[in-house]
Amino acid sequence: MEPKVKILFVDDERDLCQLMKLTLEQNPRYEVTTAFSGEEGWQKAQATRFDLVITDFRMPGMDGAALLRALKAQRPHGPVVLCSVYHDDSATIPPDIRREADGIISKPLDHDALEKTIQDVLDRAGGQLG
Amino acid sequence: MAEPEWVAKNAELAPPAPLSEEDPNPVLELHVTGVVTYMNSAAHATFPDLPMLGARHPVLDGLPDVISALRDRGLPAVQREIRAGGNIYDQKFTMGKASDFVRVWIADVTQLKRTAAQVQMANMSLVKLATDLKQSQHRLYSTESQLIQAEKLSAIGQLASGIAHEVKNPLAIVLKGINYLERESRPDRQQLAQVLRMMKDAVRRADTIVRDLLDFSRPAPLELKPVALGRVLESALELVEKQLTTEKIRVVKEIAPDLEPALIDEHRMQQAFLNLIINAFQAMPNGGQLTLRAYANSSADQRMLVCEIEDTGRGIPRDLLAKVFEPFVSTKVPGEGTGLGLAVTRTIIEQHQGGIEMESEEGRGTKVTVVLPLPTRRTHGT
Repeated sequence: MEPKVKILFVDDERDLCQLMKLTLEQNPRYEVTTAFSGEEGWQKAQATRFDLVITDFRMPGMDGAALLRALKAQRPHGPVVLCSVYHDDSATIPPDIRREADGIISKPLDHDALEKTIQDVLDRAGGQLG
Repeated sequence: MAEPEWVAKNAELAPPAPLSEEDPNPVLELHVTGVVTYMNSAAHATFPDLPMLGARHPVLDGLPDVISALRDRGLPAVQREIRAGGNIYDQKFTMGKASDFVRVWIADVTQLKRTAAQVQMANMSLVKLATDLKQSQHRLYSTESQLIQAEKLSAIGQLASGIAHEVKNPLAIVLKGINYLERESRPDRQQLAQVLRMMKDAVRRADTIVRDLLDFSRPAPLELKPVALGRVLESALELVEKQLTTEKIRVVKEIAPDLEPALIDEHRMQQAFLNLIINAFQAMPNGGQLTLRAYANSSADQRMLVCEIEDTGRGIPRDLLAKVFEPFVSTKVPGEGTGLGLAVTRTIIEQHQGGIEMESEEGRGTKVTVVLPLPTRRTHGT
């Protein structure tokens, strides 16, 4: 059996985390871990090597940008996708953060579009994943 | 009758002669109020624009101190001062008194003439000032309304950012929930699938409103590149043509082939055109013709590109036409439009230093004209 794709989803909206896990895991390929803050996400990423981290951009405490930087400093090729409520991210997400992120998705995102983004990011990162 | 004491005391102030029409010096007789009661022909000749008898004139305000002293302090006081010998006012004028009237013999008219010229100039600048004032007032009104508009936009912008967070997260949760149920639903539960589709559409509608609100109120900075405008117009059409074209709608493109590229943000401009094209399609539920035009229109001092999007649809009621670019003004049925499309479009066009106008006739159709400036061309030669 093919190993599962391990995804960490970080968002301070707990219900969204739970539903994201439910919907993504309807696809048996995915195994989703959730974290309700940047700090919790960071800790979980220390314990497990995730194939993909999806993090909300705006969170109290350690926000998406801080988590992205920390994760990239540790594993430059580990894919991190930012999730924002703004569809037009140039106005809210600073250009350097945009460049560092492997993808940006905007809320609310329909499942098919989300799965496509995840697949694209994973395909691109495929070469770097060990 | 003995001469008054002050006349003797100040010989040079004494009236040298009775009122005389023939006196070569200008002679004015003034009432203490400053009103001219008499002027001889020399005075007429020297000051052609002095007032009719009995009137006051600003020139007289320029008469040296003595007149104003008379007016301000009254004749007896001036007389007392003159008697005291301390203040002779202006040596160039002599004066005499007959009851409440003062005669002014003007020995040197330069001062008065200068004053007359100054008054005339002052009059002219007053007229100019009044015109300027009117223009400034007009500018002030229009700036004020722009400021109010900007203030409104900034308030909406803040509100929109707040709304984006407060609404989009719940929307994301609802959509995820729908996604989950979609996948859990069995093929025989057709009604469930239909309900979920309706819910999903509602989420999309709410999401579109928030997006449009953000676009309208916090326009992102433009990424300008030289782009063929006709191409942008056509690509906007291509995005929706398949979905919206019916057999009953004919699309006509009149796009000049050799248009100079304009400096535009292609993505944003496409969005602006898209809104206009969708409006045109939606205005023709019973069919009609959509015409897209693009051409250059240059005058001596300005070079412009013009785009026209014209439909033969239902048109816009006259009372709404002036308001269609304002946010939340819509002629569409609920669900068809957010009332923000044209407001967003105008914001985008204005960000490009362009202009947008709409002509419409109910039952005949609507024409939207977008004008965009081309960069000024450097002139060669000297």
